[in-house]
Amino acid sequence: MVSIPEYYEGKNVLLTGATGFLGKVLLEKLLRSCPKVNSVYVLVRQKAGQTPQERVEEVLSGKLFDRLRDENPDFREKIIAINSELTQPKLALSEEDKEVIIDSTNIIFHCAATVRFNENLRDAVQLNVIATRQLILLAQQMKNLEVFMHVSTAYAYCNRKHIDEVVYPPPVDPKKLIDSLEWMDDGLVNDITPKLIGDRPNTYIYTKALAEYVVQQEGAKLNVAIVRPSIVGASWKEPFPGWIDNFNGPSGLFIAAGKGILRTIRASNNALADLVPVDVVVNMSLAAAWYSGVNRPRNIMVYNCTTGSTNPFHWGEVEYHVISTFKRNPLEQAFRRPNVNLTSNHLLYHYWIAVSHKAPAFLYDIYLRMTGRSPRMMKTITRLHKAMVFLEYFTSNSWVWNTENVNMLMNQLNPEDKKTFNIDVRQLHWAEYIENYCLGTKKYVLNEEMSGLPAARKHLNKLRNIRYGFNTILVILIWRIFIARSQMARNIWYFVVSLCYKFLSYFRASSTMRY
Amino acid sequence: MSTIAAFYGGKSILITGATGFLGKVLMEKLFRTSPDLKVIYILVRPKAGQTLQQRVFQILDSKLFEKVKEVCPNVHEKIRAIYADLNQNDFAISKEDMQELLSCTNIIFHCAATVRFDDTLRHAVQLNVTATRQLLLMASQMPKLEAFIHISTAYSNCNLKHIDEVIYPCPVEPKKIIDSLEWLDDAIIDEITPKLIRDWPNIYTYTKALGEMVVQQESRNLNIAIIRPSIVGATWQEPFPGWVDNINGPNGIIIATGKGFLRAIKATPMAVADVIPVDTVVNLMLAVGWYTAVHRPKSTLVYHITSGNMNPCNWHKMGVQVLATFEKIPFERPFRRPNANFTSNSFTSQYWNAVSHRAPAIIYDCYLRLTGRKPRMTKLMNRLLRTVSMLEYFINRSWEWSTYNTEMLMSELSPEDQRVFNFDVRQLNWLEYIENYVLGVKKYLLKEDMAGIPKAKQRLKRLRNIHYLFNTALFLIAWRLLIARSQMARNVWFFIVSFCYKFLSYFRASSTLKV
Repeated sequence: MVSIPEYYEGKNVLLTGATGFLGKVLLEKLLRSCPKVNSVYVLVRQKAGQTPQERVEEVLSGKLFDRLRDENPDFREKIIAINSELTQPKLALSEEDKEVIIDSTNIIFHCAATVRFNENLRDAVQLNVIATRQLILLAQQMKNLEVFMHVSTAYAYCNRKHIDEVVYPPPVDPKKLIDSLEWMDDGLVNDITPKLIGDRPNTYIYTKALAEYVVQQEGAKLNVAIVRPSIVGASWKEPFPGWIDNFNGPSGLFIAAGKGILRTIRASNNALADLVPVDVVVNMSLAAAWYSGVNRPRNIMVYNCTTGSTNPFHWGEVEYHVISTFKRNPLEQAFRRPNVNLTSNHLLYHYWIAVSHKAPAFLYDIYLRMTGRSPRMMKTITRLHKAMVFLEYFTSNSWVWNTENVNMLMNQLNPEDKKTFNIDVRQLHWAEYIENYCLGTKKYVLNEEMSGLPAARKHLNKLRNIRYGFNTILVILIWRIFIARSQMARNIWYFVVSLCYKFLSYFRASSTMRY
Repeated sequence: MSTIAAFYGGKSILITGATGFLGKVLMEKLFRTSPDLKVIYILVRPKAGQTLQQRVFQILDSKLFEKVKEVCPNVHEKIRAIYADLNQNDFAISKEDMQELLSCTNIIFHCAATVRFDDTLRHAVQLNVTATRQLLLMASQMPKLEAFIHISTAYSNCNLKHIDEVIYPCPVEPKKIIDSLEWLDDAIIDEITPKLIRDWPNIYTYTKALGEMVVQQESRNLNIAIIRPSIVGATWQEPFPGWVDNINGPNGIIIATGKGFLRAIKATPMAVADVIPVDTVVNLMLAVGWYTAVHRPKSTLVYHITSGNMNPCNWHKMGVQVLATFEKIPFERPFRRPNANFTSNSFTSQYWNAVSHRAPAIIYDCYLRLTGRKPRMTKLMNRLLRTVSMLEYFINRSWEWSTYNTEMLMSELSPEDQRVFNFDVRQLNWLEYIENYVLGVKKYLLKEDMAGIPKAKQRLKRLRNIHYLFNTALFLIAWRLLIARSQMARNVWFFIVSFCYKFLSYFRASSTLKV
């Protein structure tokens, strides 16, 4: 049996979503661990005056590719940027590019998707369903295609409790939905979206379910594999621990918590925090493509790329480790000291939102306005709340994942590949992972230097002192008000004062006596 | 000799909706003027415990067909009933029946439609749009077909002010709507219905507009014509004046008013009351069938059969005449004396609904309950008010209909045909027509004998006396209450009493003097 690097030797790979978080890591891993791959065609959209080539160059210049640059300086030559627009008919490929792709491609990795959870239905269908369909139609024309690898999401069928590694029947025939969206105006589409989605939390999940069905139906004659990652987090090991470069999902919340902006979140302490490191997802994708390419299984292979069933970790634990990490290694310019309260109670949640989020943000905006700066905290808080609403579903629910195919795949790997393409999340040490994740947001998302830690720690101490001062003043103010209004409070006060006086008198007497 | 009557001799005719008001009058006219026609196929739904032949006899037993039986004694042999369900995709017609229809039919009159204004969109589309499409598909397979006549409604495009004899394009393709309704569930359809029908007042008119669109799109090489009647009322002349047999539309309102249930209706008195006699519509249908088959116009012609632009009558005139007829010819067992007001103000309308409709119904239900009978008036009243509110759109507006095609057709007819197939509404005398209409409702719908009129008049007198008595009692009670509560009322009362006393004293004094 050929090893994974041997399989990719001389192969031409087509990659969509290469400018996304997952796509970038996959590209890096492929070139570093399978250096003899022939070429990688990257479908990239033109953007704001940047050609696809320039966009790819920008990606390759990033820190993510540092290790690859050290190990294999010539890797750039293997990457071919192709102008394409996945939301246009026929992917808006030029005839020349199309010919090249059809003639050359051996393996397709389809990673592109809109991950904006609040995308309107029409756009979500366009990118997640129609684009997938068009890519498959293109794939059907490819002369040398061996594998079509589709990245879906574990939550495509999160309306179920127990999720097997199969493609379930879709909520609706994708073709019918596409036809209807053609003639319905936006108002109509917005009206029917909640009913269509039903018990799914958002349009992203809904359209990924439809996309899996499209892959199954239209890709019946192709060799297809589907990988379903749960919540994709920072890297575990490769290319280095804690790599993360976006605010999506947990990253944004971690940063908000670290800055002290986020103090309360709607979550169940005991709900499974089904995070999966991005390098595990990438390893599994490369391994799944290898497995399907070599063994050519009769049926579509589906892999649930999750940690919940294999190495469970809970949101309560995540919160603990995030906060302790940020206390030891604080972010710069923190708004408050990091501290987060998880609550699953509806009323308590709204109480804390008002007291710990909106009120301080409002006060801070007043302060900013008084000091001649433009207020921004309220806007930040509002945006944060929006993100939290979308994640609420996942921080309050748990699922049971069947991972038989993943286990089978693991067993198929030889010891060397097991190490190089590690997909065994049982070895994952969560405390360490979360710490690296948080440090990763600090270093790679916020671009803060580790040398700034002492200053940041000093800032935290200052914040603590400010809080003590603020609390003291608050107590004094409240007490004064009480004294002025409540007879009982006044009596207590007089009692305390007289007690002190007696004590002082006694002390003086003792002193006098001694003297 | 009538050219049109001769044309229909020996023909095989398919009528949908033959069991409806319009369909029956159409059949009657055909048999009376063209007794030598070959056969009329009618599509009937299976009814428990009734054979097709029994259904035919049931239709023919009506008074409507009395004259026909004189002219054409073997009429029952010329009606061929076929089991069909227009709600099914292929109408659920058996293979043998379908074969006969396809091979023999010369002319199709498509009268079937749901006229329930509050039908669901799915059902209305099925009957008014999908069934029409299916019928056209069948028609395209009929080698001997000469004409396809589609009965629509003048109100298909009542969202416009001026309506020409053309098919107006719909905002959405009918086919797309049909496809979408296939898979969208009922809750979603209910939600999007208002947005879909936009400025159409109800589902019926909207789906009739779609139906016309389908007729135009699917016409292929058929000879097709569309007839748009306005509000179809009782017969004008044939087979005798005033024939009606259903409580739809104006008929229900006439009954409700005549029985004294309905006392106020929201209407614009000067709006055109565009009622068209059913025999006028039928005459036009038959003339159009002949013209379409013989002259074969190049495009689908549309014919308006309305009275508003040729011989307008407004609701005020109509209402006055209806009430006057009730004076002469009252209904039996009235609830109250017939009397009705038009209100154009929404607030006034609601006031009268409460005072003249709901309150008396509640009082009467109390009376029924006290006398040990089942209360039913409130439910009846609610149903009546709902029906009236659905008609409100049409009795508060006027439209301008162009009738060039209808006038053109009139000029094409020979003098004999103009007489036998008269659809010239300019000759219509509204007062006479309305009187016959009301009489027809009494005789054919309520099946009340004319001999009962004196007794009915007596009862009206009694009701008037009860009314006076009730009012007097009410007045006395109100006055007593006022006396007890209001000082001013008491002063007025005392003033009146003392004034009478003085007068009497003076009279007595005079009398004494005289003695």
